[in-house]
Amino acid sequence: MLLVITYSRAARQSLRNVCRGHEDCVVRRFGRAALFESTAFGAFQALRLREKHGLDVQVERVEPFTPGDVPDGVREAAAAYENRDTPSVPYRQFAAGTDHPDPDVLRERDV
Amino acid sequence: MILRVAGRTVCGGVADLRDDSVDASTVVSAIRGRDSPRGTQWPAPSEVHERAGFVRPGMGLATRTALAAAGRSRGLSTPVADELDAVRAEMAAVDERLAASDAPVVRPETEPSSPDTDRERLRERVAELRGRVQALEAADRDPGDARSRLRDAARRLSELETERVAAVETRERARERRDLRDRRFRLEDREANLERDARAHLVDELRGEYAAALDSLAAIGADSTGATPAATDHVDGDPFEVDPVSAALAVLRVARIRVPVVLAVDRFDGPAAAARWLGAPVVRL
Repeated sequence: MLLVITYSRAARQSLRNVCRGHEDCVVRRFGRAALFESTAFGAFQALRLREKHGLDVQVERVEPFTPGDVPDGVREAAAAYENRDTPSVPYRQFAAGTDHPDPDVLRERDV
Repeated sequence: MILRVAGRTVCGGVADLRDDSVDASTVVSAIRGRDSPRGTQWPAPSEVHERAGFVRPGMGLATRTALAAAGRSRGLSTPVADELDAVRAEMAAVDERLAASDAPVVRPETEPSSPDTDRERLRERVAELRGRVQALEAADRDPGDARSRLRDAARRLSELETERVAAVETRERARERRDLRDRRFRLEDREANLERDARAHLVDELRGEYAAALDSLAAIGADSTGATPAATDHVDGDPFEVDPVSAALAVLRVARIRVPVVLAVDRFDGPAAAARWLGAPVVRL
């Protein structure tokens, strides 16, 4: 999918008009942002908005998220943390002294 | 006013051009300063003039907005004025920073060119080669080939690290720019809301005067034709629902206008009477 984010009133209005006029290529609307189908038509509408509003329109690609693509350790840490016994424990404390990665280490890694 | 048109000069508060074959839009453009000077001498026109200053049959008018503009022309203040100023000042500051940072945009959407794993593997390779070179040297053997491969690998690793740092910086700069844009966007919304509040305040404040102007206009109409024109009969109705011509004339009377009003309607007993009623110079076409 294509994620379209607007950064001005004019751009937001144009996005609204596109969403209203071409519902078929709009997957989801969030007001000042929307998800378009990753088809040539969706790209066409996104690029039209870029042409019209320049840097006031941001377009990104969105891919399906497969948890399996994330390192095991990260998945296990998430699951373990959500199932912890003491709810008030922050993750840093929870992970300390375990095999679970430190939050600083997690921040350093790109996924 | 001093108006030079059709080969003659007109001075004073009234110019009656009904007998001259002048194009209305030419006159209006000249008055509003959009054309090259055609013998006009007066200050730039205000928003209220832009909206209501050319009174003609079939015109449209956003009456409330025009009335608010009339309020501004009189220097009336609103409770949100200070906040509006602050918001606009902040917007100007953000615009400055945006203009400064919008300089050479280096593909903000590019990802770092090499994934972490490539660099990690290369780091391991460099460590391995370094170990091999050290072992060969310790055994008094010729490290030759291994050393040159170590050099190549180390250089490649350095390139990848530099690329990554540059890509991260670019991404961070792009995000900073977007953060600025986002801030500007929220200010835009706040400005629009405040402007809406200001307009509502001015309309409230001037509503009475505006309605009185409509009454006066209706009275003039009744006098001259012997009947009350239905268009200005608003006693029971909404003064903002009257026809645009009446509304425009009433708004102009409420406003402070220095630039000539262009009249192409026949509501008054001559252009001089119109100028007196409106409190503004008049060009009658």
